[in-house]
Amino acid sequence: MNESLLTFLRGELRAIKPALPEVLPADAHYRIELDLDSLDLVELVARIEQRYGVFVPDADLPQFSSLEATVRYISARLPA
Amino acid sequence: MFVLPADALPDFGELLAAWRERGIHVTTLINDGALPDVKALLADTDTTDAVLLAGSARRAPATVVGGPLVADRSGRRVPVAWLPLTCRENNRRFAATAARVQRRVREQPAVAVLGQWQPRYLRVADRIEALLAPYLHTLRWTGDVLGRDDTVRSLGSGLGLAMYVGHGRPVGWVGYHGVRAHHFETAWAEPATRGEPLGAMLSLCCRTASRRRVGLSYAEALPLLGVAAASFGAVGDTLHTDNTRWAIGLCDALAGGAQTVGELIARGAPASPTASSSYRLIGDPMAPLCGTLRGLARAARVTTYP
Repeated sequence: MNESLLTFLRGELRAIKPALPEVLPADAHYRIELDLDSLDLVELVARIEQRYGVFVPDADLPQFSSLEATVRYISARLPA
Repeated sequence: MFVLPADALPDFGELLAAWRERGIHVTTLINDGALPDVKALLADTDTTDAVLLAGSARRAPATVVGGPLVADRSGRRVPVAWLPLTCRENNRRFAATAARVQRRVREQPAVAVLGQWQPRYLRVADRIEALLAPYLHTLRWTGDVLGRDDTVRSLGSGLGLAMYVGHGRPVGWVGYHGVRAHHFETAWAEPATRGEPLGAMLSLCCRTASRRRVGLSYAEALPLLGVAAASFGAVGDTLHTDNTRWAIGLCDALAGGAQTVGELIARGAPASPTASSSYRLIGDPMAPLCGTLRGLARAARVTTYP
């Protein structure tokens, strides 16, 4: 797994929702386990887009279900 | 770069002088024919910070340029604004407004956070406030704490920037039980209640720059009425997710120290091509976002509902 991307995502999630638990497992479900709502998710995606210059269509948002799913999605779209 | 017809040039003398006083080097390009292709204008330069394209109001914002940003020779995104020319009186009023905002002492950046009274928009307003609070003053004037008349009057405090989230129409905002350009015209008409113009008014919502069934869109009317030196609105329907992307990007750009509305738009634009191309910048792209301490003090005295 792309560790720098994972670290970035954890940092952004904490900035978006400071009340998140200390430990953020990579497989924790955003909505069910981390209690993120749609605005939190769009903000996370906006920050990913700004940082990595990738564009995430709204239709792909359901794929962003956890940190590991997000890393998988973004890694596949980053230039090699 | 200021592109305009020759016969309109005398109307903008005050604004040209104010730009020069601020050290802004302006290239005036007289254009009496069809509006030029901005992409072609910028293809040969990498030193232009902004473009203001003025032309007949028979042209709609959606058709004069493809979006608020156009890449120059080096690939840098340059803000491009539109100004519809309706009559000399409106030209001069806009020029006087933009010049007044340019000449104001830049003491304190502050943002009025506006929004329709609906949970999803209040939530976005909450987030905008939270993101901006560590960096600049925010004034929460959403529909749940301030009515229409008070909002319209309060926007004349002399702030640098106001940002609305909610539903929008070509005639104005749906929030606050409907805000139209004529509400500002009426409320700001008397000398005793005359408002001090905003630097920029951003409407992160659908259609406020659309010409559908209106002579002039809300986003175009505001600078011409002297409400703001610049405004920003969408030419069609927008997605809530795209507007949220804009809100986050603009907050980051403000936190990063963006000084003018053009710089704010260029730095805050989302990566999504549709999110970016839905919007248009109207009025002075070099309008400063910093207001006066006096304006902020006036705004801070506005009483909101608890």
